[in-house]
Amino acid sequence: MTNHELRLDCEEFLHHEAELLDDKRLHDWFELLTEDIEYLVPRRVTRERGSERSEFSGKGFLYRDDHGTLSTRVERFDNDYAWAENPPSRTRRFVSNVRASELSNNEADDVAVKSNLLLYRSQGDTADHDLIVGEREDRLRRVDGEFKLAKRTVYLDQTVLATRNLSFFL
Amino acid sequence: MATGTIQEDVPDRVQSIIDDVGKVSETGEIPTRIHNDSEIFELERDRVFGESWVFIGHESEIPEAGDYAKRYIADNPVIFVRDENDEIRVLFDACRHRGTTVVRAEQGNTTHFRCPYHNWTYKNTGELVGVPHKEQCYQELDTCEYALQSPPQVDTYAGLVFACLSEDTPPLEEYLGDFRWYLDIAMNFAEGGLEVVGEPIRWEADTSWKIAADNFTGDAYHVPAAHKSTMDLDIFPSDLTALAGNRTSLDVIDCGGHSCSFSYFEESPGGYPEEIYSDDHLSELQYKIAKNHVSIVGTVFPNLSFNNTLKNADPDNRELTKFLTIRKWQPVAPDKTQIWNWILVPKNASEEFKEQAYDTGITTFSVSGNFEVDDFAVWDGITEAAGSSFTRRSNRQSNYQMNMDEMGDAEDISDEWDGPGTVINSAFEDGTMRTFYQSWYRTMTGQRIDGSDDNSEHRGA
Repeated sequence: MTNHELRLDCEEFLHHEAELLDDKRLHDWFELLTEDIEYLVPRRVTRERGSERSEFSGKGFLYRDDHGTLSTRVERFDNDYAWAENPPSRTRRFVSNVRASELSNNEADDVAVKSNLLLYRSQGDTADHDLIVGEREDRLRRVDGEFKLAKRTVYLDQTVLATRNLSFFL
Repeated sequence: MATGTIQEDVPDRVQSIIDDVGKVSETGEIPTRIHNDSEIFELERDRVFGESWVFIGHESEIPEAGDYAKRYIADNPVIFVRDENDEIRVLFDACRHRGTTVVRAEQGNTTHFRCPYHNWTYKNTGELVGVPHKEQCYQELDTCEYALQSPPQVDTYAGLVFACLSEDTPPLEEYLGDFRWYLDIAMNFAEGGLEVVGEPIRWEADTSWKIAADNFTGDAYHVPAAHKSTMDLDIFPSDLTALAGNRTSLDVIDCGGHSCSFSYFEESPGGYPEEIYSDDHLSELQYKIAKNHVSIVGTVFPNLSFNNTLKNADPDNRELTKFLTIRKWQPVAPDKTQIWNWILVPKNASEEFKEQAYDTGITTFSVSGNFEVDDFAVWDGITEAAGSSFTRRSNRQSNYQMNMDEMGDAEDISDEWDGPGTVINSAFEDGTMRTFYQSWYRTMTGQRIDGSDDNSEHRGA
């Protein structure tokens, strides 16, 4: 498979995933995850240029989830009392700048995919909206001829998040 | 850096609202307007945040000499730094020359702060040590007079560093007073103390800082409503909540102007490994509560809240786990608050447990926390309606009368209780919040929050 074909396959997966999330088909989205999924959103920290320490925290996280905690979140959104998403956020995910490469030394036949995410969110009886922007580094795994998401790290472009809560997935 | 006593005139409309808040312990009501009003907001920035002890950060965030973090006292930028002599300082972040901020990152480590504008340079103690071309053009400048300024009072309790912009406010020990008895249960129970994990998570919500601080004094009433989904899913199992029959639920409705709420069983419901506990700072009763509580939640007036609580991020696969969340509700605008969320864990616990506790914390009580996201969805509605013209013209009141007087069966058990403060034997009552607003009224009228100088001499009245 050429790298071009690989990228197209990965893009197709990411676009499909975004559609499921935007359409609130969270249980279908959950089916895209491997059982050993790692879902990470590290805290970004404003640091001086040249700082030896990474801008992205190794200890502070906005999400550090696995299959079980993600399952609990998905189930909770089915509940009428999950006010954070009742009424639901109107989200639109724009996924772009997709870069894919086969992982070397790759026993599990995984693919490394980077993409940019622009997530528009508006909610409630208002014209306001929030924008959540970042880069994602994913690990996609081929399972029975289909891609599954085995790991996602979202590198956000804000250190102080301008949205009242993260009641959705990135 | 003392602001001195503020004597500006207060418009009658605003003074009347403030005075109404002062009657909350009799009426059980406050004018809804205080939750979104620009004149009140301007005034409280000076009076509440200028005269109170405000939380800056935890010692464990800056463990090494030279470690610093940028923090805020309301709208005042400050540097939270451990200097080269290992002393923790809070410095007002403005160059003494033209006044730009000298710290431009959020955290880091440095021996010196150099102003980017004209390169005036300060040691991490605040001392001015570099003025470019001084011999040519600033010969008479006495650098000793131009150190970075420090708030007149800085002090520490159990690793928590506070600063106060006024020199007239009582020292921290007195300001926290007997309330430390309860703070000790929440954060002084572990051998070796607690430590912050990672960096505080920060985000902004369209609500008033007071609504969040009010909620954290102990609004058990909203839990079965706003957080019903978490009870349905056993993130917070129903048999642990105020609906459970066999737990002791107490509200400390006034303890020196601060308030909190806690509940505990006769046996431990789990949450921390047994070996982390230490009774060095605790009486027998405090130790029992520390081990057996479901949560102890409260607010140190004005904007520091804490909740040591038991939650489960994944009821099918994990265990109920305790963690301490500390909040700073930083006022940004009448209808905007920056939320700062620190998760603390016992320093001497295993790395495995620390991760488990941290993950439980951020998965339930943070910007993505499946318990707390529902609060943020409700609080901005209060601010929206509070800022409306109908609220203003009708002088609308918010209700804090739950279990007050003849409303219910809750009883004052302070006499038989072995801890300090005024204590009520119910979590379903609003006294904790009435005290928060009473402290707000007192600081807005130049009084001490504990009422010790209640001479009814109101400023600007």
